[in-house]
Amino acid sequence: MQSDIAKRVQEIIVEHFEKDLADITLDTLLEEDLELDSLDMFDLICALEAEYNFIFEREMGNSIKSVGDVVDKIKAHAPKA
Amino acid sequence: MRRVVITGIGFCSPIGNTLQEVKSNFEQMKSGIRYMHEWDEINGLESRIAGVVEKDDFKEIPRNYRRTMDRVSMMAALSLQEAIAQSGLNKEQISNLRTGISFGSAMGGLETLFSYAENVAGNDGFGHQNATSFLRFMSHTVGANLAVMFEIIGRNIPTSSACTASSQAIGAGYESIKYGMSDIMFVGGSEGLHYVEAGIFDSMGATAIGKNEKPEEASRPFDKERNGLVVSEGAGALVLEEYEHAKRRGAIILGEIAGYATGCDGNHITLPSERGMEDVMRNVLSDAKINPEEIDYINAHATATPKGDIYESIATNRVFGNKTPISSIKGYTGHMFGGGGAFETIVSLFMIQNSTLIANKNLNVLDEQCADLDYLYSHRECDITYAMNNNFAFGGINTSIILKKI
Repeated sequence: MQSDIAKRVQEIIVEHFEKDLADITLDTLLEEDLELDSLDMFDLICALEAEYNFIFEREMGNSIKSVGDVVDKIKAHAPKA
Repeated sequence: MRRVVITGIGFCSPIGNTLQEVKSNFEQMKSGIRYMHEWDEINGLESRIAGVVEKDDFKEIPRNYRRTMDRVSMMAALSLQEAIAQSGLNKEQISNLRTGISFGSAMGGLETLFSYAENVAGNDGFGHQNATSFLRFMSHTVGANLAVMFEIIGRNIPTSSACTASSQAIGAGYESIKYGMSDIMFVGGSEGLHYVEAGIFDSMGATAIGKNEKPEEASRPFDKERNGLVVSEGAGALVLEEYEHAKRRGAIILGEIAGYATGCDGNHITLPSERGMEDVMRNVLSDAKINPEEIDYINAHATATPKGDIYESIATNRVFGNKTPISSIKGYTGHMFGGGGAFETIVSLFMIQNSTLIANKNLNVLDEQCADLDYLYSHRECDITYAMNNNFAFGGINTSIILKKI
């Protein structure tokens, strides 16, 4: 977890889903490792949209599997990032 | 005919979340109503007092359940957890096609609904709304969330009829067992406090006013000086079980639901009807197959509104005459709306178990327009075999439950 974006994503996951900071790396899988389901995924996206001021297209959300995927999407699409 | 007994209870209330606290507050005739500093910034409220459940941290509920729960559901969840623990039911008995649930609330999750509406109406629109808001505020949020948390797979009958939401839920559970559809039903209701409730009832001229400085004196059922209800919150949960089923597994039986009736005035949207109230009391006696003189105590709905208490007293007098002791606990708790019917049923059960009738609080001088009844001015020790709990809601919806000592 090096970049500012990665750190912030980590914080958002901890804050919203009450997970341990130590359990979250770029390789952590959202569904399998953090046990986030479809409702959690929507709420994660909602929090990221508010943080980085952009809209996740639904198709974009479907391709996110790991914390690293989240960071990559933000880097690629978010104006603030 | 299948009999329905109570094998567990749990609650959150403005006068305590444990049996010991509630008992102590009744003994001292202590009110759970306080001034709401939290509402100081809200303009235009006349009534700034409420009955509050003093609990803000619900982290004992795992996040994957809590994420879709407003306060209304969290209070219900803890109440049901307590009730199930007391009943001693195991996982196989809880997650069973013969075990169902019926829970209600008047408003769903108001706190979430308000913040959601504010966000949507503001600059956010629907752009940044999360996925769980609706699940927290929808009208059947309590029943839906509890079923998920406790893995209930039988029937689920959410109720939403304001002040009768939880008494109708008890009735739905009772009838489900009595008529053979279920062996166990988890029943009750809940309400989460929000200033909008005070505002709504202010607008109807139904709240107690002029008592912001003396909150504990504001809710005064049947008293001449009453001028309205006090909004409050809380939850009540009961485990209902078929009598032979409970006996077979060696459960501790707390009491019996001996009768239930519900009816409708079909008359006025807010004004109560003496006839409707009288009908439901006669109907529940018929369901329990007992006579009026067999009822040892009546727990009145009596919210302390000017007209409601009068109409209720007249209807009660027509059925019972003036010999049956009667009280309303809303002088202590305020009006718990969707949680009220269940909590009042639980309190009536305490009275049966303790052979003590709880007095009306703040009844100093009886309103001469109220009918002649045996109003309880102080606690009274007496043996109680049958107790009746009445609730009446907007829309002219009426319920009556008869509890029996066992």
